[in-house]
Amino acid sequence: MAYSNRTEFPASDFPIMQEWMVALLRHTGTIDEAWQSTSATAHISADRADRLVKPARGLSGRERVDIYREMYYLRLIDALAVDVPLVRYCLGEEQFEAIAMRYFVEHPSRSYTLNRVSDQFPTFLLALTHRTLPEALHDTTQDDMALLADIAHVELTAVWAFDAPTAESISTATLQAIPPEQYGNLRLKAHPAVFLHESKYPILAIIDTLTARMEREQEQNDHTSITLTNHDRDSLFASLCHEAPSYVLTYRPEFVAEYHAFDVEQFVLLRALLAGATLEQAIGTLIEQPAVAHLLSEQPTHVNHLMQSVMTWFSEWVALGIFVAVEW
Amino acid sequence: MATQPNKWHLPDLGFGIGLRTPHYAHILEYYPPVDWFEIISENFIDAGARPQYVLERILDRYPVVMHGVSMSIGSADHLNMDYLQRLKALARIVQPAWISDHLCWTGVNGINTHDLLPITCNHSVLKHIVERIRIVQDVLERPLVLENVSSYMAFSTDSIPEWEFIAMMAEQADCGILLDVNNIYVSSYNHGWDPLLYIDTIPAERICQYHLAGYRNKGAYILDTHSDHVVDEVWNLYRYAQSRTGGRATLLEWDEDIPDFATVHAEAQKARQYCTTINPVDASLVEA
Ligand SMILES: [Fe+2]
Repeated sequence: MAYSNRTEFPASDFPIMQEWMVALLRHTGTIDEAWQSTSATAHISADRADRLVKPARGLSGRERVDIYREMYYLRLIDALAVDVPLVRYCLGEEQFEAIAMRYFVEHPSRSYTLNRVSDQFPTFLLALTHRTLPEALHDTTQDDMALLADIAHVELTAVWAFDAPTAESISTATLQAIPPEQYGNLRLKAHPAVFLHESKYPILAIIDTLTARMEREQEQNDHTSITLTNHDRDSLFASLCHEAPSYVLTYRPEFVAEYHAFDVEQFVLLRALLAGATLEQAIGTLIEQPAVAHLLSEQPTHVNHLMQSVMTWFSEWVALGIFVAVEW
Repeated sequence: MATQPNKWHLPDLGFGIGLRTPHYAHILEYYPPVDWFEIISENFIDAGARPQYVLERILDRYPVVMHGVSMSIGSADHLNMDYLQRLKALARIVQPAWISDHLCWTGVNGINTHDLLPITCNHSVLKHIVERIRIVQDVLERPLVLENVSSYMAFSTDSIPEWEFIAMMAEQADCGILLDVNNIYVSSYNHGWDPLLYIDTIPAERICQYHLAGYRNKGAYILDTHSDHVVDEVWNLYRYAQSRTGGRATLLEWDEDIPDFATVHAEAQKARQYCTTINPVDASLVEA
């Protein structure tokens, strides 16, 4: 076998070769389309590239590069599918792949770990509600996409919670040691495995229904991965998708992430606390919340009941372990 | 041939297995008699509670080696110092027998393809990689061990055979080599190389570890899938390699279609019979 040192490709050209290779990997067309694409030829022209990659065992240079190309999107899509199994189930394999590929065209991995590749997926799905959907998704409406973005986000909060570092939570005893007159000044730090989600749909009920259905079908089909047909999805979404705002706290107490349903008051209060407000400031935000403000204007005495609830929720959250530090 | 230590006297850990998620529960319940485990470093850098819990249990009972996939030593990008610091922080916890990664590049301009892409073997790239290995070794404060990867393409810019490139790289950068015997077989098939010449050229005293795995033959090429049993040809190459070096830690990789733990463990144990020298683990069994 000949090892030549062709002057056509100076040995120091390897950075250009790497940019060219990544352009080929990221191109979604055929190998010939990728080879001729402006993203690849910006680095190495098609003719030169044909002389750069050596043919072997009856495969041309292009076919050799294609071995790597076949694996690039597949690897990323598989990682995404693990993180958002319900989105994949709802879309079906073909449509999930089409949308995932478009996602990775716009959001290639920039992390040393595959654990982060799904992070922008919910935002990407939500943005699709204002854009033309890929042709492969002709059966999916933009309303469906909004719901799928919601499902994706809740699924990812569980992934993020799972991957979050461990941290020591403050206990009820810590809270009890604080003089009650200082409660208004309390400022809390959330456990890194705490995430909030706000949805215009009854999202936990939807997730429960989908999970139960997916698991049942997988069991019946010997654990092969199952997806909904378009028809099933339309009727399922129609039955689930009434607008009813819901609020979710995702938290991983020990090893497994769990979802907790919240009402709007709990959500507003906790969101303010997690953003760094004191307990007094958080209560202020809560009272300004339109529904609460309306109720208080009609029944001013409701404020006592509300304060009692705040203290109950607060104790429950501390007992749950969602705070790691408190200062006052 | 008698056992010759490697240059750094890194221990012959025996016959290990790559630690994989589907086996966590089995390992923590039975603590099977595995000589050692290799962890994928990136799975435990910034690990959540569950992987961290598993790792702590494993570290209590077994020797562990850290094997990375994202160092991208051959990339034209700057070395990712943040990544290296995180790797070093993990090493402080794991206290691995050594740290390895691959002779490849994984991306450029900040993009990670999460693939082990082939370098072009010439003097310019050799100089680039040697400089980077030295930096990595300075940061990690230990020798870096680099593994030969399976490749499916070769370039007209190659001016040094891969086996000579690895030998020169190891000498010039003063680093260790993780010789993946299956990767030698796969690349030799794909490029028409002589696997024995490959093995003969690698300096024995720099080899710190062997990898074994199964592949998928696609006809015109072999794909390194880590999805099956090790084939006889690879076992024979492994026997040949071990006869040059004497006892070196050996690890079985199984990453796709992962069977139950017992199957993977049994496959790793097969390696014992291909070792011509008695390693410490075998000796204890003979005495028993
Ligand atoms: Fe390997």
